Amino acid sequence: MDDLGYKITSQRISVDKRVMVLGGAPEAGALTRELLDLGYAVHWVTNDFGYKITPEAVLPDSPSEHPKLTRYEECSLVRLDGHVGGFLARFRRDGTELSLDASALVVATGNERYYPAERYGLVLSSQVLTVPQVRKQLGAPRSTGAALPHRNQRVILLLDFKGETAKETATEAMCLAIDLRAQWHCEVYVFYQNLKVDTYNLERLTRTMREKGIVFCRYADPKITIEDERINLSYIEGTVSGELLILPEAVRPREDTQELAGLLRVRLGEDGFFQDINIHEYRPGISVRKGIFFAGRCHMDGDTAEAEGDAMQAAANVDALLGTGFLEPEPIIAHVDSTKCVRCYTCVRTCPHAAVEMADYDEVIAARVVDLACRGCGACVANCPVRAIDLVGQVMPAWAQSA
Amino acid sequence: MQKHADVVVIGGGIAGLTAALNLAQRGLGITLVERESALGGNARTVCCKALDGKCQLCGGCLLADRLAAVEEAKRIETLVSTTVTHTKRVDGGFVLHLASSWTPDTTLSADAVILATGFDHVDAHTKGPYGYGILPAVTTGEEVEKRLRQNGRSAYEGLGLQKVAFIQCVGSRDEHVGRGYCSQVCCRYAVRLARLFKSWYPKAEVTLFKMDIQTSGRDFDPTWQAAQKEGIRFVAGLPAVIRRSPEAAERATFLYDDILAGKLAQEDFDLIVLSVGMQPRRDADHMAGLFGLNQDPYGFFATNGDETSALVPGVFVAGSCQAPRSIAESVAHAQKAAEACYVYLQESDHG
Repeated sequence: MDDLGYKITSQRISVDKRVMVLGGAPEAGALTRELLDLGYAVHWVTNDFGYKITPEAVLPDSPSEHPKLTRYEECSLVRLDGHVGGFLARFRRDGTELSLDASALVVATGNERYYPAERYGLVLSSQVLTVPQVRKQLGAPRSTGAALPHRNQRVILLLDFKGETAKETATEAMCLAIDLRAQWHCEVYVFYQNLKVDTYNLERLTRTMREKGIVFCRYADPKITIEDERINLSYIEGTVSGELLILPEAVRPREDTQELAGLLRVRLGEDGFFQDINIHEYRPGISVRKGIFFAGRCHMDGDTAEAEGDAMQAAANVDALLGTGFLEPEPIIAHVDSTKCVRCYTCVRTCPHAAVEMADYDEVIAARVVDLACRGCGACVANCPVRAIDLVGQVMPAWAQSA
Repeated sequence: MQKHADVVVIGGGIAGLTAALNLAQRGLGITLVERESALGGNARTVCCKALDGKCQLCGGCLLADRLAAVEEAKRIETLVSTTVTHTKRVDGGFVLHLASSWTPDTTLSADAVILATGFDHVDAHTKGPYGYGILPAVTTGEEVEKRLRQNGRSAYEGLGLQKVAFIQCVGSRDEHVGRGYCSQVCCRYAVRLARLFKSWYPKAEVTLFKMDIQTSGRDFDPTWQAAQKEGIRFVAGLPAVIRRSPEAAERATFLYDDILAGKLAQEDFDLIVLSVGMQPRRDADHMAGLFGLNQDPYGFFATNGDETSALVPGVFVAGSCQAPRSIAESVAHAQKAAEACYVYLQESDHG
């Protein structure tokens, strides 16, 4: 250690058990409840990102009142300062500013549903409906005159049309098919390219559908025509003519995901969702920045139950970081020699973990590595043009010595 | 004096390691029991599938840093070459009798148990019509991974591979052999291996025979899209039969029902990779008996609604002993099991 000429000065620091949950997706409620159960104080900030809090979006047992819970609604994030153990987030609410601090931050903003009109190329009408539209009609009272399905009506459910249907929306569509068959006695045809069965529940669901007499057809190149209020779908095995065509919605990242990622300085994947894979470690739910985690459908593909399960693993990640009540730096971290630094910002730009910042040393301004946020990957060491950065550490771990 | 651990984790694969690490980080004392002589489990056989240095997100490398971390962790005691012979419930906790090949048998008490015993690959011999073990051209995904892990690109170089086929759902979604479930991982590893073959051996023509490609899991969909663009052929044509090719003894003929073309077809291949699925461990019944667990119709450990708590209080299941899971999914599931276990210990008197 002495050979390195530098001693890591920042010892373990104690941290507050305070976590911020950003977003109001259904899984955010489950996450907040779990964190409260683990003894954390939680700031739950919702609305401008994440699902709007509507009665159906909130799970029945989402916490609303708890001595350690504070809820902030209608807030939008403006700026995030600080690092793990001491984040400071500034929000705007009704023109006023609001500052909140937390030791860690979990993003649970969920995803966004939309009707992919361009991709489908079909105009919605009384014969062509989306899954939620049909659901709404089924739930509406008869007096409203909603066009309800009737006995022996032939219904075509078209999955994977011009691109894959996400698991979440495909599951919903298949549940609807069962209801139409079992409760409304419709004749249901499910057209698919790749039937999604890759969880135990889905396999059971498709089996139930077959048992109930739902017809499955695999298609490749369908031709859809609408004539005399009948929908004709031609494919390799012939033509099916029905009275109602049901299309699932599609899923995309929320519009503000990119902006939020920029503010949090975390990454997005090629598909536009939050990226939980980084060069240093690939662990589900962990972002590139220490102390920022992802939960639920803002970073994964799944139905509500799976998203809730994912919230549990996010809670475990948070508690593994903060559960002991203190934080300490990794065994090996980067250190800047302030006398050599030429302030070129290369390290600030290249650090994948947003752990380097410019700081005021006694007289000079130079780059500084935040010890607690550094993961010791060495990217800055390799890129520094004047070799002002080095990796330092207490002891080399046993497994590295033998290697 | 009898040794005590807060939590005993049975199984040192990716799920067991993850659960042990998470609980140790939260201050619990863990004993990790592994019956083989080394930790790592099935994830050890997975090869890196990076294409021109670009990660395909298969998760094959997730194991290494966990093994290192467990080695370093102070609160985890690791017992390799050790099996659990019988168990007893005492005061809401457990007493486990351990048999080991290198020390005398011992007992160990614990407040909670996490089972992370993993899965077995489906034995491709059980699919008779595919001729595995008889035809030299027929191999399994598991074997290909092992060969690529050992020899890298050179494993299949110079063999003059012209036509390569991947057959999906071998021993999955097949009620005839009692496995009416989807193994979930085979589509992912087969498509990734297919892309790897295509880029390493450009002369080879790669075809993948499928029932339904399982595209869910956001890490997979871009991979599948890219595979289609790279000219890998996807054919809906199962079930099928493999015979020795009449022209050359080392090749194999694949006879199938091309569903979307509506006709029977046949084709010769140099190499046919059977994408074998996952099944419960052969001794899963024994393990279930030790702790009094229920099993689902296929033999995986049954849980209550949260997928991690067994119906016996204090027993939790993590990873692919509960249902088929990829490496990344096993990690997430093990975290979830650790969470459930931690909450259980806090709520019970032992916490």
